[in-house]
Amino acid sequence: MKKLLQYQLHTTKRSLLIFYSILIVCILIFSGSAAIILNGEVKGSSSFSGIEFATIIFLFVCGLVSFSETFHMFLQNGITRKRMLASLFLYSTILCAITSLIDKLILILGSFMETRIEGLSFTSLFAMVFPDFIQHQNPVFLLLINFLLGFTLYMSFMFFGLFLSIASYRGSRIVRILIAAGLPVFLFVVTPILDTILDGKLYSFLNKVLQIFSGFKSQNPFIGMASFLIISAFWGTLAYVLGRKACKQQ
Amino acid sequence: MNEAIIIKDLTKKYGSLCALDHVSLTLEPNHIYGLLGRNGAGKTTMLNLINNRIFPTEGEILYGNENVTENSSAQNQFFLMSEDTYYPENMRVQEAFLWTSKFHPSFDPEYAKSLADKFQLNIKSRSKNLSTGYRSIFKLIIALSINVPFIFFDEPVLGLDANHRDLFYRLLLEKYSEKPATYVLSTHLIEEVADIIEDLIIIKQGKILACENKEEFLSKAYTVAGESRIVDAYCQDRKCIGTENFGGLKLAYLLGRPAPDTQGLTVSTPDLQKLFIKLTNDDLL
Repeated sequence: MKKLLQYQLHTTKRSLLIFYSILIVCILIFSGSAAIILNGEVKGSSSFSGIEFATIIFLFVCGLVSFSETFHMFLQNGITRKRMLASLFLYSTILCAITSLIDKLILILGSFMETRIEGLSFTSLFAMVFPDFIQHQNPVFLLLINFLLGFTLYMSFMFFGLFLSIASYRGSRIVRILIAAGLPVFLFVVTPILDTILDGKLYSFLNKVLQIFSGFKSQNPFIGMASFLIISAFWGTLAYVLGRKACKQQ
Repeated sequence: MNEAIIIKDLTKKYGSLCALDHVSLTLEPNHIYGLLGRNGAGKTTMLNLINNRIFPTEGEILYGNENVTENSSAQNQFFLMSEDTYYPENMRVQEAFLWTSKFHPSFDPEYAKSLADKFQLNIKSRSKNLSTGYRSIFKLIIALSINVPFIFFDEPVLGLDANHRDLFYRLLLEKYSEKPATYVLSTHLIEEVADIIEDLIIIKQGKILACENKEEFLSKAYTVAGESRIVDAYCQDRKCIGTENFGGLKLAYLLGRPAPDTQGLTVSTPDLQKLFIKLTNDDLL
């Protein structure tokens, strides 16, 4: 298992480095520009928030591309599907933990820069969603909760990507078209049209569901963590069921 | 002591297409097999089934007493060099050596490097940048450098020039004499492997036509050559599997043992490729 994990982490190492290099360069350019502008005569403020969204997209794409090549490489080396899927899930979990940790470190760096540059603010997704919860809490505890929330949120997206990747690999051409084109069309075209037809009731309903299950409504991040874990387990189970019988495509 | 691979009543269907039809055979330890069959006969399907790349529809494959499907310990005893490349396109040859040594402790990286030198394969090249021939060389070097009891080659010399093919056959025999293992060569170049293989498996339309020692197999057939009318007369009431005409002369391939009354005819042992062609022609059997 250790070798399988080592291989998978090795294949992601470069993309991870590129992703965070770009992110850090963006932050530095942004903060540098803000420092120049805000430390001069200009009065105002500048905020940097939701870097977690970039990580979510990165991990979702990682999930999408993590199956096919790895599956072939492992098949070539006599690794059973059971072992490769177990390692794939463990690798995804580790990657989500690493990225969540790096994101927190970036936020700590951001907090440090806030103290140096007047008017500059770095806000985490966690602070945006749980403004009531974060008040009067121990900073170390908050950092831990922030890490766990990010970790579970990332897992839910990465496992979804992984599921789509395996479904696409195993599926017929129609299934692949449905995943590649049907899903985005449904999310970004059909759903808005439906919402318009229903006088905004669809998005309003989805918003309420999201508020409840993310823990936003009750200002309880543990509800969010539990929801993301359940979602991850759901996609993970589906991915496992599909992956168990995956064969090299003819 | 190595175990045999026992294939029992193995069937593989792709929808309505039956690629393997109730196949049973045994692959003994320390033999060199030739797996022969026409395109689409089921050779690759059989190798993929043994190596856990695909699942059987019916039947089982045993290594010792264990079913090999989804069995790590059994799969660690096999290695398949496929016609398809399973290595990532961007992976360099040297990286493939490195990872193979991690997954297969029996892989000998120094030997692999020495083979790369012999074949003049640049180990810094990426898999995607290799020509068809060098991609085959890259994969067969890995297969030759792994020391497991069963090594399967699916079209190992695809795209290789005559010199490299010759080098591969020599290295294979050298390896076999130094570290005996079972080598299964699935190939269409029957003439080239005829002198290497000890046993052969002939598949026709998903069924095993023959699985036996090569010499024994060849001894079950013979050719008679002579004037057409004498050959025709001789072939009457005998199992003739094919003929070839050369002007007024005729060559007939027959199953069984030659009769004593072969006056005016030249009797000889057929070569493997010719016999294979006659046996696997669609208009026969």
